[in-house]
Amino acid sequence: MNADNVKAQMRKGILEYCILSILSREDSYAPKIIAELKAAQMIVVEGTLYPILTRQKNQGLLTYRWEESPQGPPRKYYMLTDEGRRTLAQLDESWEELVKQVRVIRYGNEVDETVEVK
Amino acid sequence: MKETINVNIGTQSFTLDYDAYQTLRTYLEDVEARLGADDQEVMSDIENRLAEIFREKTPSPMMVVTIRTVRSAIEQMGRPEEFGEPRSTADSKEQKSQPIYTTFEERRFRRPLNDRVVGGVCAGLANYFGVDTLLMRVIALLLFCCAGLSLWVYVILWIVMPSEEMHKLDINKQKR
Repeated sequence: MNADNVKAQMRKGILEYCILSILSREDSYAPKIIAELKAAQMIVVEGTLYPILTRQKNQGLLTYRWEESPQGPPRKYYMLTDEGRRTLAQLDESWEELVKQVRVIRYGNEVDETVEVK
Repeated sequence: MKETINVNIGTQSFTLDYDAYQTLRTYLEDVEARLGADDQEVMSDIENRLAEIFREKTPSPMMVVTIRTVRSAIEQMGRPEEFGEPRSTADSKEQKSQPIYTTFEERRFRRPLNDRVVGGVCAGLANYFGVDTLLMRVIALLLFCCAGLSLWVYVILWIVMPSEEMHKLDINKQKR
């Protein structure tokens, strides 16, 4: 029960980072981003994503364009801005740092070099 | 035969059963309340997505969107509390406390399925008032035997108090 809660908190913490990462690979629209996040078990329901996307857009990290879709109405394609790329680079760095630090905490300083991340 | 309503969701026209319409409207109002007034853009994103889901599930524009379609779309989108992540602890507490409190109360005023002796009324009341179920049963028995409380009170409560299962099915409809 408690472990689930902690896991959910961890995922929540890196959700924004993951969204930026997905968009750094290619421009994408909400249902597609959702599918990726769902597959990674980052989110369970779709509604979680929309407010975050809009907030990131308002912070200047993302922008969007309308693009025709093969079926149905046009889709909102989100893409990173330069600001978004800079933020992502910072987050990438702190993620690496975090993984390293957690590894040190888990295994102690001396095995730092030898332990592989699973 | 069912009454239907025409609505515009994300600039597309849909025909909804009346119960489906009510459920959807309540849902959108709850989501809007959760997001706050200035998030019109998010609301229109959500409406657009709902329109997309409805279109997928009702292939012909002539077909009516039923309550089942609406419920499964809502399930896919998630409960209003699940929209966005909590912004800051203080914020989210303030925003969340009200709706959670009401649904919590609503949920508790029902007859649990798995803890019934006669109709589950005592168990339901015990949950509702937060006391031990056994204690509630003893109190009820004492009232019936010694204090002259009419058994009709029990029967009426049995009728009035929703069963757990029914409530689950109707959760969206009964909110308002």
